[in-house]
Amino acid sequence: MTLPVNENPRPRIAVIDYGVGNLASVRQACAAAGAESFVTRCREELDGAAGVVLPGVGAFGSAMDCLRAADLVGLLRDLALAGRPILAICLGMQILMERGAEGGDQEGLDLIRGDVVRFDNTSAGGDGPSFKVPHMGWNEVSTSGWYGRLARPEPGSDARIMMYFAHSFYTRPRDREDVASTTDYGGVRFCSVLKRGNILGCQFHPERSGPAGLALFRAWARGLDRQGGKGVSPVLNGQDARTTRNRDREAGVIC
Amino acid sequence: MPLRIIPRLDIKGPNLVKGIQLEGLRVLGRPEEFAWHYYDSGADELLYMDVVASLYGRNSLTEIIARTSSEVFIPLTVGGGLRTLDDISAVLDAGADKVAVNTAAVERPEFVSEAVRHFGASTIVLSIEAKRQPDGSWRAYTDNGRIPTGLDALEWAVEAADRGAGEILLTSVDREGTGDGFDVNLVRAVARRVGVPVIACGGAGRMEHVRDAIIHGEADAVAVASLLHYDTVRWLASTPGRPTPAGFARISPSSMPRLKRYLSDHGVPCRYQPCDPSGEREPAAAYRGH
Repeated sequence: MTLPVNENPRPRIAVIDYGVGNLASVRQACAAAGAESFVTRCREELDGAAGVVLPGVGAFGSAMDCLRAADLVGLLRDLALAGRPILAICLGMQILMERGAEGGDQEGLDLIRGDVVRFDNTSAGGDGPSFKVPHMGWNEVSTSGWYGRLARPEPGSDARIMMYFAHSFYTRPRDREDVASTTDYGGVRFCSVLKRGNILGCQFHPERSGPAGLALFRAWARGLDRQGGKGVSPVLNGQDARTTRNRDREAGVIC
Repeated sequence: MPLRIIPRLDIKGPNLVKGIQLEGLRVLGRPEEFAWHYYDSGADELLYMDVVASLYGRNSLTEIIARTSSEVFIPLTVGGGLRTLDDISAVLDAGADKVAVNTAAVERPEFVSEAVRHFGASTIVLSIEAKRQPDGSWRAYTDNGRIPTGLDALEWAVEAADRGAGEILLTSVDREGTGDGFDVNLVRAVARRVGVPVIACGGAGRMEHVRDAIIHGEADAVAVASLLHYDTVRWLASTPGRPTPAGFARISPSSMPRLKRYLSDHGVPCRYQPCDPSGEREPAAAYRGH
């Protein structure tokens, strides 16, 4: 009897370099999760990746400008629509949306319906703002939805899951099924994990969230092994996201 | 939202040091050892300050940053001698998540705006060293509290926040290294004026001081050095072959878990679970015996 050849080499993860984001931390987290990673912005190199990480720190508009300058917008949309697993982090998650609200309307990658808005702490009372922006620090990520099932395969554990957040804006996905977990801050219950088919977005920084964050990387990387680079397309019933948006705009659904 | 406890490591060359008022710098050990212990025992973030950088005009921590960030998966803020956008890039590329700037920002406030535009608001921390004045106000200083800037500390904090700085790291020059507690009035004055998080730094000698900075100072986070380092030094010394360290009379050291348990029991929510191990564990094999 021959032993099976190891058919699960470490998954190769491409980390998109578009000039923003802490690539070193992401690569370190991938390594800790047992995956190989490489940094790229090149279409050919991305073809060989089992999964793609889209990091991001900074401003929505600048990030989209950088992506356009690096000719990555079409490439990322192609990857997403073809079902390639994508892990989008912080600003990376925000640019998945149709548009951002920073400094006027800006177009995002338009892969998830919804927008991005700022935490508003400007209505100050006599004692100063009631909460601070950026939302900076550890906060609880809800586990009642999809993310809970990912994070806690063994039912019965009720320890809170805390992750590290550092952001001034948050996403508002239009479709509730896209919201995989929520977090409370500044009087808002916002989407902290976004999931649509092969796209997974984290508003927090899993690469800097200690063991819980590394566990997320591990779970995502394990999923890459099984999917073998294929996944469910995120779009509605196979239709192009832009077609859907245009149709909704004509119908008056999108304002 | 839980308050953040951030060990502050002052680094000189390869060493973790601590400035003691009237004594100078004392070497405590290797930064990576302390960093790993703090991560393992529940620290929320780490802060590395290069204390000789202002002398040489550059930050030379990139190796330590790289080693730390590959093993310690919590945010790392680095400061000391960061004068240009390239300096900031180098430190972030090495693995830091945030940078703290002081002198360069005081000399040219536009630097803050540029850094925010380039790296994002949540990446840029403005470090203010504040010294109390006879008239009750506070003035900002640079170079570990040695050089006066003439700036009013509160107004400078407001300007920096307006320019987009994501956090204010507020150190009391008067209290730093004394173990006498934070300047709670200073902390509260700044915390109420700015809409960005304020990290209180400088002076903690007992757990009660940390609680005061949060409850009365309204800080969003607290950076502590001696309070934790002297406990870590004792813990590391329990490894055979290590010399017994000198203490410091005005500090009642605490471990991170004990500090967080105390805070949680006294009205300060922390990222802490009661069933956490006490943190009294063997040093990681890689660091044993060094």
